[in-house]
Amino acid sequence: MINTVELEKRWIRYKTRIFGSLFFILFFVAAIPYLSFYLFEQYNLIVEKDKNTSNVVIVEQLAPKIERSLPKEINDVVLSPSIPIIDFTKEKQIDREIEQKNEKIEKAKIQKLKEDKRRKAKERAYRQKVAKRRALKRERELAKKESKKRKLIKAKASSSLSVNELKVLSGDDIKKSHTREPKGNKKIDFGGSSSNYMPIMKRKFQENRNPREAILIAKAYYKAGNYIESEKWALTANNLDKENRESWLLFAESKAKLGKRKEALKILVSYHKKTKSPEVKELIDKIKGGNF
Amino acid sequence: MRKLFFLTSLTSILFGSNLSAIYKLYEKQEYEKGCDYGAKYYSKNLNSEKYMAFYGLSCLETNSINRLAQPMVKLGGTKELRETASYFATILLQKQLLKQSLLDGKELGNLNLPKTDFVLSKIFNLFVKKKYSIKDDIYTLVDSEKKDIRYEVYIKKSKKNINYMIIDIYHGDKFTKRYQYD
Repeated sequence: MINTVELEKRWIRYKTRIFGSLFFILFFVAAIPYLSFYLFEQYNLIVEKDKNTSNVVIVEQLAPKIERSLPKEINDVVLSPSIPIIDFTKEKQIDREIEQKNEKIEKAKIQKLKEDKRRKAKERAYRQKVAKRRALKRERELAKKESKKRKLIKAKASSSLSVNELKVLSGDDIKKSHTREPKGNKKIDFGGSSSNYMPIMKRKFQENRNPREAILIAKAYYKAGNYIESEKWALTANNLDKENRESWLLFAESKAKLGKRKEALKILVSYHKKTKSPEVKELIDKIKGGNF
Repeated sequence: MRKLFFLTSLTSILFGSNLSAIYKLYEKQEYEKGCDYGAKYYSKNLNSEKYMAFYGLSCLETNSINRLAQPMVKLGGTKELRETASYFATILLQKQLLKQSLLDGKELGNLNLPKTDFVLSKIFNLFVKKKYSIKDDIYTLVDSEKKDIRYEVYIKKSKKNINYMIIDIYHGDKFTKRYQYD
């Protein structure tokens, strides 16, 4: 006997199972696009840079999830330095160019320095020349004043004048002083007519340091027989001007006069070797012959 | 003439290419001199990135990390030089952060900075991961690759009241090297 109630129950169970499974399948099929769309949206929110703060909040909320989902290696950035490659031929060329440039600059600098030196030397020489001229002018003026003073003679209280004084008064001396001496070698009487000749000359020399004045002083001493002083002044003149022949001769002559003949000859011979001067040769012969 | 020769030779030394000079110092491993030389003629070579790279690398070898800031900002002409700049910047930042953390107890969290082969960088990464042990304010860290290498990191105050970060390196129990950063 077929139990219909039982069969109906089984039939209902069978149908519900079929409908249930069909419903689930349909549900999942319908849900997949929605779910994928949702996930895609969320992913976009994380990956793309957010434009407003609400998105940032979402990112913050989702950050741990993303961290878990992303591969870990992404954060491990490894850095290493690289040594630059240098083209040495190029560098050498640059070096050379810089060197040449600097050399040029240095040369220009040195040239400028030299020019400056030359200009300064010229200026110094000019200034010295001017100073000398001024000093000479001053001396001349002083000499004029002194000569004027000398010409004036105070009248004596008594009427008796000496012969010399009368001579001056007669105008002979004044005439003499006005008349020029004939041109040629000026001979100075060093015999002592002018008692203050030496101090004046020495003062002059002190001011100008002129070798010519030193020679004049040496000559004066030589003529006066003071060979020690003459030697000294000849040497001073020689120190100032090595080329001056007179200083050499005077020095040697003074030495010879002081009895230092060998020394005098030595000096003259060495000087003769340089200059081949006949005058020096003559003096050498004189000293050698004992005629000096 | 002698004066002229002297002047030219002197100027060629003084005004010669600084890049080749610093390169030669780096090549000879005279890093101390190279770093000083780099600092000396820094302003003259502002446009030479290669010079800046050698300046930075020389200073890095002498552990003069603070000096890296100068050449670092001038690098950026090529990909390699940009990476070198980032390398310098990373080391400098890691040093600063590590010192701050040691002095002020600043938490470094999950900071993930780029990795470099520099000792300080290794220590920094270990420190961030909290792979250390503390004893008497001395942080002891073990190298992740070579287990027998141990680093001791601590702060030392100088007589002039300057805080120095000291890193002592030990191979086993043997002390091998000390780095000092101001």
